[in-house]
Amino acid sequence: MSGQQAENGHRIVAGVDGSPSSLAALRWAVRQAKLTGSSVDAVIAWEPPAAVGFGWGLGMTGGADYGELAAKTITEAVSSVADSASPVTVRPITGEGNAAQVLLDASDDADLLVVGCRGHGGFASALLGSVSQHCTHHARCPVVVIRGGG
Amino acid sequence: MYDKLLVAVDHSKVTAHVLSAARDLASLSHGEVWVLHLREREMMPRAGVIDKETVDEAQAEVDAAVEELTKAGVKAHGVVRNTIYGYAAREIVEDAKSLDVGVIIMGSRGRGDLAGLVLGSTAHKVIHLADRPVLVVR
Repeated sequence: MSGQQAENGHRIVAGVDGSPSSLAALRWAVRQAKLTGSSVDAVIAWEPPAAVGFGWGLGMTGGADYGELAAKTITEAVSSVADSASPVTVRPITGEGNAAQVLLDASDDADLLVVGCRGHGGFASALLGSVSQHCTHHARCPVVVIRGGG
Repeated sequence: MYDKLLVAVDHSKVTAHVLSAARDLASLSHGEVWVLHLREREMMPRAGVIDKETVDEAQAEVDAAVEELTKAGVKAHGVVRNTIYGYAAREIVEDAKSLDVGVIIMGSRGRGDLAGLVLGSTAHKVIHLADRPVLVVR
């Protein structure tokens, strides 16, 4: 799961699911990486819904391969923050499994984990998404939660 | 990236890590740091206000933090203020807003939290209430 290390060995993991909040987290991670000379692993997690073909599962994706959809989402997210003048290496990484667990595994030996405050799954009224909350509770490294626009 | 940073300290075991994160971020971005210590006081019927620490203890912690940051070339300010038990998170968030800091830095678990907790109650509340990035250090 963990990517290659930047020259100074520092690595920042950003949790991305394509939501505006997660993109703010990725932008923040890239700015922080620029400051500290780190590299960024932009990590997306996917897992097949419990009832594929029932309800939103098939409807949303049209039966597409979930892994491919995740890979497309993360590639677009990384492209959106790419800056030709920027020296920061941003690696798109796709992991299968529970989002919080994938992020915890990816950040196990990272220097920093950056997450948004609410992803796609959160209720509009939720103050903090369940993945962000789980990460702040269980990550081994410092965690930044991006509230507001980051 | 950060013109201003707010660091909340409370004598916890991770304070050293919190300060070192603040020092690094402030040095890299030439930012100014506010070190905030809130003295949580409990209001008890009959007994009145119960202090968990003396003013001198609180001030000493903040002074030491400011000195450490200043030695590292970071402009730092110390703030010690009283609050009522349970209100620290709200005040941290309010200070962050009024100072318009770029990031709030705090430990994952404070002195008052149970040893088994993975995230202290104050950090938990700050993450929920804040409208800007929060760095939780452990």
